Amino acid sequence: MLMFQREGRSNPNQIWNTGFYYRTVVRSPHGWRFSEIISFVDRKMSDELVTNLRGLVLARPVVLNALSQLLQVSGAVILDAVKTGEALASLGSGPISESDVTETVAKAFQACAPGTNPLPMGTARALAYVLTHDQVYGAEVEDNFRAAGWEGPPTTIGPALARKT
Amino acid sequence: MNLQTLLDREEIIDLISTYNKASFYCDLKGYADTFTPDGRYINANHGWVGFGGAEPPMPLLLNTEAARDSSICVWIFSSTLSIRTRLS
Repeated sequence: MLMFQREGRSNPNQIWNTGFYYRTVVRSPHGWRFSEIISFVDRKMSDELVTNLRGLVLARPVVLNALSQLLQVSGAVILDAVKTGEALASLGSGPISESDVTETVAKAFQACAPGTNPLPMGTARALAYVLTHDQVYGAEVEDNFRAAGWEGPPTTIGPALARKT
Repeated sequence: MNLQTLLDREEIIDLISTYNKASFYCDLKGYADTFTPDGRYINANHGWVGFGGAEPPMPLLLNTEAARDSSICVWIFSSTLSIRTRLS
């Protein structure tokens, strides 16, 4: 999935982000129905948006309690770390790896899914990874498109990318 | 391609159309009806992970809020649709 942002007062036309959109349908007694829709962006458009919205997902009690138990810190400390962009694994007092964090969040997601429609571990891990790891800026994606020959309208590069170039 | 496959495709296209229409007009019941009772909508970056029949309408509200707060976007989908059979 590509998201294109139309130009506005503060932004030019630009490829805003890329992401993943996947729907699964099953036949029910009432006809075909969605059993799962998964959508997430894997390239952030701004620090604020992804961080704040990520906080909303991780604040759900089942997920937050699981993280709290793993890291042995309160939920408030975890949410503060999400806001400041601190790696969650670094909050733990013991030797906790990033994959421990991903695994814990993935299992919490799985625990939420009903038995009749279990969430596959691969999907749960992918979601957990996106929610607990930093993402690159959409401008980097745009650069790749330009390198491949895309001739879209000129856009302004973000400060993070400008620092790198 | 046999007739059943064609009929299935037609029904699924109708389902997507119903879903899109319900989303556009903020029809929560219509939106929820496009899911199985144990269906889920997971939108990791837009702040919602919805599990179960009662939760899928919520991202609609959140997306509406998000749409109001942000610039208008055009979504270019490379949508993948998988058909799964279940024992239940």
